[in-house]
Amino acid sequence: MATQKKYWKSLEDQNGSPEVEALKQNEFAQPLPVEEFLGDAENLSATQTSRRDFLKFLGFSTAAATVAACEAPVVKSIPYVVKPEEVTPGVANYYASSYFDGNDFADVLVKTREGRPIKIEGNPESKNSLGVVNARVQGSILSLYDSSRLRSPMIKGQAAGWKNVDAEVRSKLAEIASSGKQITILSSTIISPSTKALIEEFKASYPEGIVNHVQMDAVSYHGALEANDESFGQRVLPRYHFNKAQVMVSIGADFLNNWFDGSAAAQFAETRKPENGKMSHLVSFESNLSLTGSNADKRFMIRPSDQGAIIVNLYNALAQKAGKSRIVSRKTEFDQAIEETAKKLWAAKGKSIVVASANNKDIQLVVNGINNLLGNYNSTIDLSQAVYLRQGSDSDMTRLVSDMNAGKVGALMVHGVNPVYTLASSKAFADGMKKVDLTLSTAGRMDETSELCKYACPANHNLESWDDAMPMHGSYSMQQPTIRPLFDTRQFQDSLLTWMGRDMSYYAYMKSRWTTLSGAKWNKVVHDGVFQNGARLEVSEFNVNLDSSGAKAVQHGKNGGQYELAFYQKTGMGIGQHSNNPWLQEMPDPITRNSWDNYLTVSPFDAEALGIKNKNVDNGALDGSYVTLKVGSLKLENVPAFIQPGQAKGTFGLAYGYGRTQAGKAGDGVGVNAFALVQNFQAEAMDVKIEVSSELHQFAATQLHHTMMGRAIVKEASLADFIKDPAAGNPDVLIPTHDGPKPPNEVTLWEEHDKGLHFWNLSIDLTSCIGCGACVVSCQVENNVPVVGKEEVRKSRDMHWLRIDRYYSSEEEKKQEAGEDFSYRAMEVPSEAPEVVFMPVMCQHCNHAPCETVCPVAATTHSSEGLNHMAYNRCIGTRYCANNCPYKVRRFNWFQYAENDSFDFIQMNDDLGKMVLNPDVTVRSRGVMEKCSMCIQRIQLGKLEAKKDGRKVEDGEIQTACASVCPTHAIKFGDAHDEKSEVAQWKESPRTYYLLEELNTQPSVFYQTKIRNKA
Amino acid sequence: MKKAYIAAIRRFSTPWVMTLIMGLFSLASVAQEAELNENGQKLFKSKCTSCHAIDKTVVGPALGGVNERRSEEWLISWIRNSQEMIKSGDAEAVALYEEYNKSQMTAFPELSDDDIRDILSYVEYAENNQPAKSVSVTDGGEGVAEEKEPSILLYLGLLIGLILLINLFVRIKNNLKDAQGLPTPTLITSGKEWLLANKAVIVIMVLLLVVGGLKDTWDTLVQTGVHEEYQPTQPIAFSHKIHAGDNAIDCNYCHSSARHSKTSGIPSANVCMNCHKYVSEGSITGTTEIAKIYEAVGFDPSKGQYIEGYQEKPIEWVRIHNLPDLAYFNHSQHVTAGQLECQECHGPIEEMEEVYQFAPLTMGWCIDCHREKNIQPENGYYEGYYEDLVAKHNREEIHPKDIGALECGKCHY
Repeated sequence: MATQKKYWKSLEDQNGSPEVEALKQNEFAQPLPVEEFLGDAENLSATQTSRRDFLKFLGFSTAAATVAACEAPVVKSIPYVVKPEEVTPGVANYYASSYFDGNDFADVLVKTREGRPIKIEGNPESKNSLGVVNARVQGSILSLYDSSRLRSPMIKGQAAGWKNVDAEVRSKLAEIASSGKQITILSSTIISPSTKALIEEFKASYPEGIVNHVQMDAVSYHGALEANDESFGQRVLPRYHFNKAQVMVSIGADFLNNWFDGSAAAQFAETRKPENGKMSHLVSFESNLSLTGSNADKRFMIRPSDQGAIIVNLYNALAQKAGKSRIVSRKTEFDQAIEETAKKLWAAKGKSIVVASANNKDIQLVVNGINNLLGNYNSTIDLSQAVYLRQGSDSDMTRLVSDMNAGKVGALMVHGVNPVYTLASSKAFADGMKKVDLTLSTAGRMDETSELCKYACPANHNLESWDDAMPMHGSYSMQQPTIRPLFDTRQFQDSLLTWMGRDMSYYAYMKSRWTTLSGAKWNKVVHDGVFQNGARLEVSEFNVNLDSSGAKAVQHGKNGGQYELAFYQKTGMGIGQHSNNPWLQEMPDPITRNSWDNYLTVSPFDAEALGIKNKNVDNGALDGSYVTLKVGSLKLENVPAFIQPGQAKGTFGLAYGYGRTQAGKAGDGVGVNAFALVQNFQAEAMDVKIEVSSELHQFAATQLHHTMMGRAIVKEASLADFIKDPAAGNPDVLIPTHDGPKPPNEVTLWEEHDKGLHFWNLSIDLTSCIGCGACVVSCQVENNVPVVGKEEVRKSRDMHWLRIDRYYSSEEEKKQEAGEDFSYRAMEVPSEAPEVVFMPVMCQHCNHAPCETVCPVAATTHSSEGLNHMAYNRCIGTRYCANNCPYKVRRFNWFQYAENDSFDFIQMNDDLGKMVLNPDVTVRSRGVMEKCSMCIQRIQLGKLEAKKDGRKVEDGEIQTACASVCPTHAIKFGDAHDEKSEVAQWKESPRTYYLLEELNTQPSVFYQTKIRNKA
Repeated sequence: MKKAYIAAIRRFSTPWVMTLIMGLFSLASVAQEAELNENGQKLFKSKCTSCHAIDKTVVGPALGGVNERRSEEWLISWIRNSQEMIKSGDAEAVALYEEYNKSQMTAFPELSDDDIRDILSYVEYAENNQPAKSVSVTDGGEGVAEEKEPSILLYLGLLIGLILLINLFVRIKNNLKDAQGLPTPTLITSGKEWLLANKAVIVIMVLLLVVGGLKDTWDTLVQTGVHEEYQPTQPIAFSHKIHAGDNAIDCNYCHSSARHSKTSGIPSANVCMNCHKYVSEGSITGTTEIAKIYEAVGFDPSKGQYIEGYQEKPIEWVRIHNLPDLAYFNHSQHVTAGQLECQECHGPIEEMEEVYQFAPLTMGWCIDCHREKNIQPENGYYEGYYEDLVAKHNREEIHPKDIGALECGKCHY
């Protein structure tokens, strides 16, 4: 064993549950039902169908199928009548665009084939999102082809034409305006300067005070916005430069995963390069185990009610060093940790960042005070480059709801938000809507809000619309359509222009505004998708007396009960804007590894105290207790509970985005709606009552199958050790032989494969990987990986070619005593505060592949370029290869997932959904094995392009789908035969190791040890 | 029987006689008109037809009767350089120029006066012979069809005759036997007896049947999904022979995607219109087939203009080469990188009136090529690597198989 440190996959694993032990012994999670069938002798003899009959039927159907196959169908080939100049059938076009849905923003490149958008990747030119596209933005492409989108405008749920709707809306608006009632546009944060200008024109076309524009964010940043308004005179969020920070402290903020600015993860990774001799240090105080907490060097588990006091105490510790006056505070159990953290921060003055998630102005003011003490403004935190991605106002929203209920609102136009769902806790909004004369929604589908609206005026999908954006001050993005609207929909801005009686398109409106913007050339901006004009926002100096807000911050949540609840966003589902997206539903949560669910995360301590059970049943799948939650008068029933190590004692976590009732066939009824417990826009509930039910919920967990038997899979070292010895934590693997220990490749049965011009390798840096799962979705989109649904995931039949294994490790290490029986159970001392590692695992493309030697039909073979090929049409489905694969990366098609009503998950079942499929990759059929191909379609294309140009393949030119979207550049792909390539250099790194190297499979995929900066 | 034979011969000879008579007649009729001027015909076809037709307006006016409309002197000067005439202020010339929307006629300074006279003479000839020409085409067609009919009848007649003859002999034999008082076995009973006496024949016949049947089954199974010589009827009777053969248009002119893309690309109708905006009549099918392009794009040949607001109607070609989805084939790989001629896989396409599938498109067929053809050593992609391969295999020719073209995953993914 290379290291004494042990990794465990779940609590059951660690506790040595008998089910897990049994599973470890079984190769497949579910036994084959042979006995069940043949054991029933009585029934078998009684049956009418004899073996002969069976053979007859078999013979007949084979013959019939053969005869039927002889007739070739007539295939039509229909060319364009007039081919657009830029389209060549069979060649992909890329368009720069941008994406914003009120929650996620990204500058993107859209790949289209024959006019169909089929993939979204990051725009590397972007200064706003730095080329980052998270799982949700990538997944949004499937929402475009969702057949449950609205296909035409509707009046009271009945399809109607735009003419009728426009006429009615215009006359009603005029009526309402003359009656003096309010016309309210309720929208998500609007970052488009043109749309804002248009709304202003709409306002101006009515008498003063009639039109009211309210912006809301489902997860509100109101507190931070207000605090910045008071601190700096601008109601904006700053641009954080995590890449310039040496010490980062997060109090509840999951900035790596769910943060207004998606580029934070990329910036963070820049500071985590041990090769530079230094790394940033991340300290996290949080209740739920988030991605940020998982990647933190120090993590403290706090109660949400303590966050105010912790922040104030941190301020005080720093104020003492700065010689400033302290704020009256109270003791917390983390004061020692706070003192240490303050020391680190003070040492990194001007090169640190402190962020907090609390939607509370007082707390955020103190956080601003801390950053001010540290001199972080204008260094790591830049307000002149203000970020506009969140502008919602809680007070405006509150006023709107009371106005609606008071009958003051005559018209409500809802755009880009779903308040009936996200404000589910207050029935007041839905009640208020009944008192509004004209209710109108632009939602693209019949969601919870448009269901209650009289008029549904569906807007286009982002990929069908024109728009501009200013996500950051002085930095613009352009959104261009990449497909004509699939349905009779119209973008909101065009609707607004029509209702204003303006006879022009929004495209023309926007373009005319851009011609006046200095320095911007329209065609170039549309081509690049981004434009900077260097403008900076003027802000005032921080000069706030923190005494009163500090006192209020300390009191925040002081009346907390026994249990507290912190809400969070899951990587896949966010705020539920893509609930009907089966890719995102099936994407396993990086931490819990559960899919198709949200659940209450409970600490092991509380679970025991409350009698909450999680147990593995029959086929190894996980079942867990249901609980009922009560927050004040609010109640949420049938919440599954999941025992989560790393959850702070006395706290629970619950994800937003589930429990939709009007999402569509994939999303309806999945999980529970956490918004139903949200009070006053706060992301925490300080007093939760819980009742445990005896009934059990069925989870679709991907965590217990394919166990790796506790071998040294992830290797890690501390930064200090790494500086002393770059190979720290990564000792050479040696196999004992009669000639003494030898490296595995010298003890081999097999001959080398022929090597050609290229040797494609994939390098994965476990130090950089934050586990965000962008690669998982990218792989799914690129390779037509089917969605199998909750039931099948439960049976360990998920089809993802790339999984991100998550291991918990305990701080305490048990040394193996000489002569002692080797026992994992004894070695793994349960830990309430585990460290977390993420490890993306795909086919390792072994150069001595165990799968290749056992395939009876040579369906999986080796290439001269270091790849393990899989010929689907040759596979007969024996599954010997999966059995023999030490990495468990092969996936078997138990069913035909395409054109099968039992797997109606948009992507492959109807004509519309099929438009998202990558035409260069076969859709696999039932009964064949599949696995990562290292995106061979991209490799072949890259080589072909080089050959056509008569040149060598350049390093970086070919990217696998996973590598191309990795926000932290943890995954790198290239030709190891090209000595100058990045991959060839990583291959020589002392940190590099091969997974299960002792098996001498000689993979083409290799990993770099995880280095933590624990100092 | 004799009668039938004579009748057959009579029917057989009729079309020949008819054709002969008709041929003589048409020759005679030509003799009456202006003689065919071969130089004029050649020049007319190469220089004039892109803008002019005899009987209708294309870009320029219809040329029928032009010799009557204008003087020869005027025509010679106009054809050589019309712009000069317009500039010089010739009233007739200016009026003509205005009438045709000021579209300039190409100047032909290289034509001698005699050349122009030849063209004019051909125009006169063509004008007089146009209807006669189309009639003879249809007649010829019928003639060919009739030619086949008598030969089948002839054989059929001979066969019936033979059967009658055998029947006659059998009857005579049976009558003779009957007269002698011997039993008269039927064909079946005598056959049975003979077979029972020669059992080896049964064994051989059964063996033949079984082996033949097995071979047939095997051949059928092997050929399943192989559609060599598949030649569906296309919505437009497009002739590759005329375009790629007679007119020697480069394949890539219409199938431009083949160099850049996985698909060769069936040309969109606007590519057809590059030429057929001017060429509205074909040599075989006249205007009927070309009109289908106009129908698709919305072009009015009588006005020479596209119809505004026309709802385009895509042409639904029948796909001939259907590779299964599990195999990835890329045209540009073979055309641009591999420098293969289209004909290597598609056969003598320039001779095909109607395209058929030339190659079997089986994996064995693909693989054979990957074993035999050579890679392009001068391609910069192989720089350095080619030399390694030559040293490794000890031969100058490096085949695709040497660079991994037999590996499954290169085509199946």
